[in-house]
Amino acid sequence: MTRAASLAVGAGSDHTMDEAALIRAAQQGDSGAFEKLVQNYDQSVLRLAMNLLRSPEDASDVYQEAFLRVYRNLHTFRFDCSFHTWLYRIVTNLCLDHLRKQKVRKQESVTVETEEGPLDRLANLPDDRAAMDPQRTVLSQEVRDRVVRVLDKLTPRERLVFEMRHYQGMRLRAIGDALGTSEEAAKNCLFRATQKMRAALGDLA
Amino acid sequence: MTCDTARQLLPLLLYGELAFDDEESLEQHLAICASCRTACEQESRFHANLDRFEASVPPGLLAQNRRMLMKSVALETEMKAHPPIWKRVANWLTDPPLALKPVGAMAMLALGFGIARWQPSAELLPATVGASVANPSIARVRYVSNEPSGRVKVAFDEVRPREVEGAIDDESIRKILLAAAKDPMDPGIRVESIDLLKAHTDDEDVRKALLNALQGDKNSGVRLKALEGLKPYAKDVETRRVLRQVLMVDDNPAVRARAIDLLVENREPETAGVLQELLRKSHEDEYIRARCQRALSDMKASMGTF
Repeated sequence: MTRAASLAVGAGSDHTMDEAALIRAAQQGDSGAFEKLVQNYDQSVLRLAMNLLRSPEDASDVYQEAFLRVYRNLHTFRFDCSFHTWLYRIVTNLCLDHLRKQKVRKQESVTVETEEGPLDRLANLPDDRAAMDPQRTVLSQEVRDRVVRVLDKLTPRERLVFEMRHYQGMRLRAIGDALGTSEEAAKNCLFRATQKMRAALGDLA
Repeated sequence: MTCDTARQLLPLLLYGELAFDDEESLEQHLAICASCRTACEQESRFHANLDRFEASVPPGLLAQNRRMLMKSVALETEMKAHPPIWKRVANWLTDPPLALKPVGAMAMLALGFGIARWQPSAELLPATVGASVANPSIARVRYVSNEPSGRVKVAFDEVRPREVEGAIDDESIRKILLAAAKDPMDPGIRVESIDLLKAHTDDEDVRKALLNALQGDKNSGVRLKALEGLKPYAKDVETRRVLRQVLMVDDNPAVRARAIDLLVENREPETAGVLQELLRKSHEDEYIRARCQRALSDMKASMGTF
């Protein structure tokens, strides 16, 4: 890592300044700075991809492709927007592509046939919170299929906005920036998504 | 505010995404309307219930992705520092050094003048050959003959650059892409052709081209692209046969790792055998060994052969 980047990371008082120094160092070919930059964001990127695509392989594809695109195009980043917004534009585009492909291929069936009988793909997803409470586990098993089926019925954009707002806690303005649309359009998307989910899963209240 | 409007705004209230005025009006309404307050509590429970369905990231996936990413970055950096000759030549031609640009421009001008000066006049050319093909690339001369008039007649096949445009569903475009996927001269063209074709594996010819590329292409980038395209056919018998073969003979760890991923989607006994064999052979590649061990453990198969 370059001296400027090390100092910036060491100081730790101003996140934005740290990040700007890291980006500049990475733009000059400092791979340590690039790695640190990735590590600032990659957990939330992987979590978003995992939530949306519900497949570790697909989530890994999005992770790898997104950060390789960042690496290849970092020299074009001119600080016109935040790095977070720039990164999420890449990530959301990749996720939308994957979601659209999944819809076309109808790969989203909850159960898949295997030689050992039907296998519940969702049952393989770890749910640490539910595992701590047996009653919750039973409940989760029963309703998880329904929740996923309803999520699948949302359009890719509604799905993405819902996941980013509900599970990632991103503000609608940031979501709009990432998707290249207005805050109002993102709000409408979230509104439609919650209406559809409420209509189909009202009894979960 | 009416009860209908209030209930529509409840989800946005819970997300903290209402405009200041709307939030004020809604809170005033909730203060005086018991049924909307109940609806708000229900909405809040529904909201909290959805939290439980967030998928967790499997342990180790983040670390594995970080390792793979940094490997790819190191590879790209290396490629950038020492690009293959064909790429260096292409870069030099498309973006020559600044000092050479005026020289290049002058050379182009001189070439233009030269060609204009030396181009044979139309009356010297045979009637059937137009001026636009005065300088053809000759693929094959079919025959030559001495005409009674004293002139010479030559029949030849000519290669000319052409540009076509169309949808990928167009049969002629697809045929060109299938040919480009086998172009031995340029791995870049092969990668891009396979990348375009891989979304159309419902076409038998495309699937065969991907299988051929996976088995025989010298470039690992092309093989990885072909693997991506074959993902939906991980259950297909022929695809699985090729994947098993690739797993044993391919020299690229990334290709082998992806082949393992596709193969273990179907837990068939042959796969366990191949993985055990691979485990026995690949002493140096820790990563592949770990992948094999994990896949075998998932399949509840033993690590060794007996």
